[in-house]
Amino acid sequence: MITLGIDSSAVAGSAAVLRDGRLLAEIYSDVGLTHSETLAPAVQRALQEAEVSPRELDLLAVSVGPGSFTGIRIGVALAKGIAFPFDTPTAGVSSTRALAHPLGCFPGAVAAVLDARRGRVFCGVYRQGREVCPPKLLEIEELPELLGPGPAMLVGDGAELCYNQLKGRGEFSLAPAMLRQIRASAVAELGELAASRGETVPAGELRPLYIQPSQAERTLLEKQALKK
Amino acid sequence: MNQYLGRVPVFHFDMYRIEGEGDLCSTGYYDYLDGRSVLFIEWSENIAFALPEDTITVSIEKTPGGRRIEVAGIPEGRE
Repeated sequence: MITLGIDSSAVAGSAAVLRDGRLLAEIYSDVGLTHSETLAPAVQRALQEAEVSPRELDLLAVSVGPGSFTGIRIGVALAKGIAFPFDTPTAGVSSTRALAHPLGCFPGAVAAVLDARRGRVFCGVYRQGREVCPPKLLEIEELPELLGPGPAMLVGDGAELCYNQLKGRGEFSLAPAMLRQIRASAVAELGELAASRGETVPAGELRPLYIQPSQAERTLLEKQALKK
Repeated sequence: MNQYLGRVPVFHFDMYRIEGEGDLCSTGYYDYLDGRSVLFIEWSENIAFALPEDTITVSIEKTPGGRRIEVAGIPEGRE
């Protein structure tokens, strides 16, 4: 099985090619350029390095969010564009699950946090690869209560922000920097796992996972703004 | 949104049609609050709930003799 993994749900972007679970090539960049400039060349380069043509792909796995609104749109649109011509099956992978994936061996909770700005993060919680809290939008201050007692490892582009803000409020640790960003290889691996369970969809049915504040929160925010 | 990429990236948003958080998210606005860029926001009153604390506000008002421009929020020592 040959899988192309794509991620652009945060500031960094990457593309990876897996053959039967083995990582053949991965291109990763975090240089402040927009995904619209870097992602398609990264995919092309990863495919070239792996000597795989788009026609040969058995699966296209892409991180569908939550995260950067623009980044998710670019990643999902690119995945659809590559998958459509050859009817390649696709698998949407949550960006928080992809973040937690390399830390599946950590015995405590893994909190995957993506910076949603204004003191908020998109957060999903995992224990040894199992999702115990699906991704949602919350205030950083709500994190200790969500995680409860016990050690928790923070990953994602919001990890440092949360770690600094919540110092002394729990047993938090920061994942090593090289594990703190989403990797397309993790997206590809999770895509293969989803495919083994028969959870793929045609490109036309692939959907982004935008998580927006609930209507109640929106109303509250707007009321607060009016008071100012 | 228009972008002007130079030494400091500048992004121009027009929020005239934005009504609330849902609309705002769909512009990608939050992706640009990265601390490295300058955002020029027209109709910023429509997104008052989402403006950063260090926002500088420029008000332009028509007057009989021309126009009056008022700038507020410039940090101390940087005037």
